[in-house]
Amino acid sequence: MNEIEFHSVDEIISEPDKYRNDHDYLNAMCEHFGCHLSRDIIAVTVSSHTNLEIFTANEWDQFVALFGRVIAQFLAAEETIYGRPH
Amino acid sequence: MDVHTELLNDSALEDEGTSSIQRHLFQQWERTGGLINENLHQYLLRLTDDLVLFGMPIHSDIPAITHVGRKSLAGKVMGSGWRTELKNLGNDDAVAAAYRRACQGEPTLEQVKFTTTRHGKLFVLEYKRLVLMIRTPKGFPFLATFSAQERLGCEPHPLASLQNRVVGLRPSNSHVLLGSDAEPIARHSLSA
Repeated sequence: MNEIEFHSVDEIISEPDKYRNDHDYLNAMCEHFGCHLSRDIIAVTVSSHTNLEIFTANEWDQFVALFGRVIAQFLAAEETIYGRPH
Repeated sequence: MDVHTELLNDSALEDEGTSSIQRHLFQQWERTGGLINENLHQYLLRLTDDLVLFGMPIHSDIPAITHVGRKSLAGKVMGSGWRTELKNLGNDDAVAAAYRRACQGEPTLEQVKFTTTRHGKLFVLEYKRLVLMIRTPKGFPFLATFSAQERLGCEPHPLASLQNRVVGLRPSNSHVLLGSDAEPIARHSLSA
């Protein structure tokens, strides 16, 4: 009988996440849904510009909370008839 | 508290009785059928402070709100208390009809009359609301609204003194009606 080989805990933990951080996740979702307008609108709302790279920590936190909400809506809609692009 | 809505004919979208921004927004939207291109992107971005954005209605007829512009009617005039009031009214149909029509891809303009009581005074807010379904360049939809105020009236409520004396009503926190600044962040829903 063959023994099942388990990955060590260290191996699993050291494996990189699909998304390294919020920035990568939101970027990936933005590209997936093409919701750059929503991203820009949220960015302008929290900072009056659209350059995420120069956000302060506070602006970034606000942005993540608000744009995360947008992404959540797109994700939820994707599961329904609304999510099928046509 | 009461809300009355009436869907207007498509011709109203080009009528001079409709605000110039609503007419222009409709024209911009119509050029691409609501699909965002660079022009529409830039145009809508300039309206950031005036727009209210929603997801699509999924679990109910009322979609979740994702953005409230600082100068939008919802952010500037109605305040956060109005959402709770409308929910308590239990008449989602009055505000959901516009979303339902917009979700079919139809540009939707409606006349809204919102009546409520603050500190024993009766307030009447009338406005036109444009509801549009917009698609990202990848084809994923969301809803955008632009509301133009037409009338904000105030008059003593016939039962005001009695209400204040006997019930001690706790006022809602509508910003305009109470005179404080509006919050730009979205806690609103329903008909913004």
